[in-house]
Amino acid sequence: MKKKLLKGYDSPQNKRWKLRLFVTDEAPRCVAAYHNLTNICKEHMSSRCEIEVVDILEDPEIARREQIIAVPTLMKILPEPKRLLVGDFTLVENVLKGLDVIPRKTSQNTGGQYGNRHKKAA
Amino acid sequence: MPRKSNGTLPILQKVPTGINGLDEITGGGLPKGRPTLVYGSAGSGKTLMAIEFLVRGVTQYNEPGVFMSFEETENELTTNVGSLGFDLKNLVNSKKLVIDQVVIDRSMIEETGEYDLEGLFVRLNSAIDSVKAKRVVLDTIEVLYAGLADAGIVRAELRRLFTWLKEKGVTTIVTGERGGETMLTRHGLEEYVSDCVIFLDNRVTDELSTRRMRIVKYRGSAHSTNEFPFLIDEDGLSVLPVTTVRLDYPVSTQRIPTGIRRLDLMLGGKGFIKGSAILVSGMVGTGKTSLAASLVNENCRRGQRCLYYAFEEAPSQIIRNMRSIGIDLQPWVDKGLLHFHANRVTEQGLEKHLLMMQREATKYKPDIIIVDALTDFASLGAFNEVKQMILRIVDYFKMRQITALFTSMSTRGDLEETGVGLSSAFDTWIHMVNVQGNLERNRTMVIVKSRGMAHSNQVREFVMSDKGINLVDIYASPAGAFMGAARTVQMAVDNADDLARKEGISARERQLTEKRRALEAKINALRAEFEAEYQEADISLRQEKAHEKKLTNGRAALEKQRKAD
Repeated sequence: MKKKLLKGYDSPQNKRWKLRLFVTDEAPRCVAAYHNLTNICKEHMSSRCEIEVVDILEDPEIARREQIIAVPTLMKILPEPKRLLVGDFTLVENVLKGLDVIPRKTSQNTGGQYGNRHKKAA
Repeated sequence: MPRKSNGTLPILQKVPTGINGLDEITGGGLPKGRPTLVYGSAGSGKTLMAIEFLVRGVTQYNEPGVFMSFEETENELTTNVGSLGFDLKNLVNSKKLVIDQVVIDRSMIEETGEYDLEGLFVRLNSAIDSVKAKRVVLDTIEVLYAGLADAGIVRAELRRLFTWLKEKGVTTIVTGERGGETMLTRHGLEEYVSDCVIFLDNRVTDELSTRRMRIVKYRGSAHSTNEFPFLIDEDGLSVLPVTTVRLDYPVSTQRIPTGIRRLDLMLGGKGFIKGSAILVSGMVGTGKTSLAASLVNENCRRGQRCLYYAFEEAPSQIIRNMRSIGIDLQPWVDKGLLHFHANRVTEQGLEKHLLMMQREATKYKPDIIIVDALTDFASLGAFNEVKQMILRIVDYFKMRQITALFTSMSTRGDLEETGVGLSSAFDTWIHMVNVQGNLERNRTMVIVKSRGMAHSNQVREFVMSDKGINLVDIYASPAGAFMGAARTVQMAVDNADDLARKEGISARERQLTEKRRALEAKINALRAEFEAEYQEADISLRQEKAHEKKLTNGRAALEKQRKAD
């Protein structure tokens, strides 16, 4: 299990994020996702993120315990509520909503909308 | 098709499910190392069938399994199948089964771009490897469509999953919800699972539900396209392989005594033929059940096993009633030789009955089966359906060399109506009629037919007493046929007549003797008279002759004196 602390975690500001990223080894999508995530963290969250990276291939039991089916999956542990973000973080707006950086509207609908876009892409 | 080096076509390998009857209709089980789709509407028994496939795999074929549940929790599953006698907890603890519950809460998930379902693969892979599973169940994987917004990704990942499962070489059951008009399943799972597709249905007709199963597709294997009724009860799933019943059952010459000596005599001296189907028809109160009980009693006494399907009376009632005619069935029940199966016919549909009867027969392995009464089934369906079902059950018993006696209640006394139009299915047909007259009813019995033996064509009176059943000849006299009290009366009348007649005869005989004596005396007198007359005539005749001689002699002497020339 790799643990990486981002710079700026000790920032004096109140709002901090405790995140856990589930990946499978060095899969290209996972690597890309990690980069995207760290960028978003720097740009939108003043680097106030603690990201723990978990390789489910090394510990399949944790995937079972944490109900992980999609890869990559980001688990927002703090702030509450707990939420799962799946995908490679290319849809920045969804990421920010999911991490409660910006307020969520009707999240189910937006999900569907983006889903359609992905279908075309696939 | 490519041929193997030994010149034979590659044969599709199958994995026996261990589910009662399913392996028969699939010709050996599910395709080995391939996924099978089991679909149907809610409550059709998909999950149960899948679980039984896993449990039987562990317990009967030593093939560990993985159950990936997308709907029910491990606890729910364990409780649900516990009533079927499947102890999932024990299997999990002994590392023969892994249950992984997949929870997808869409409200908790935000989709932020491209992803795959590698998490599912990882979980499945680790579960399979942890118990070296050979069997896998995915129940119901369609939930993914509801949990994830991107249907395109789900579709692509499912395709990848089934390919991966095939590579992994595990035999898989994938369950799916029944779809609409154009698709078998709601999300078109049949697109990925093309080797074997099984449809489960739970139909309600006339307030009775019947579960049915149909093999929609089985690539590379001959299969029946018929619908097969199936049952879910405390022993799990049982499929009824109805069309496997054929007319090639073995026949026996062994005989089964009926417990009624006179009836044995009527049946060629030895009773029924082993493995034959016997129909006992008649109106209410003609003694059908008593005849059946007598057969059971006699054969339990000989150590044979009997199974009694009681559709009209409770077993305790039958036992009590039979005691009144000197037949005690209770000891046989206590010894485990006689087993009653009692329920109301209207409780379940035709197929369910058929299945239940077959299952009981498999369980108790009886030598003799009583079905009391067959006619109760008539209310359960159209004539043709009922007929089909009865033929099936008759054939089923015949195939297993079980002697089966069916009672059939008729509302009228005539034969045509009583046989439920099925007489050809039965080897022996005994018809019982109550005859009313002289202020009483009497039971009569006749053997309408009995294949394979010389049998009596006589109507006999069926007499029940506290000493048992007996058959009595009908009393035939010039005045007609009599039985019961009338027999006694008529026999007395006839006896008196006889006496009178006999006396008359002896009187006339005496008269004749007298007459003869008188006549003979007369003859003697006449003969004496004639004798006297004859003697008198003889004397006078002799005198005449002497006189004549004297005259002749005198004439000759005279001529001599005249010197005549």
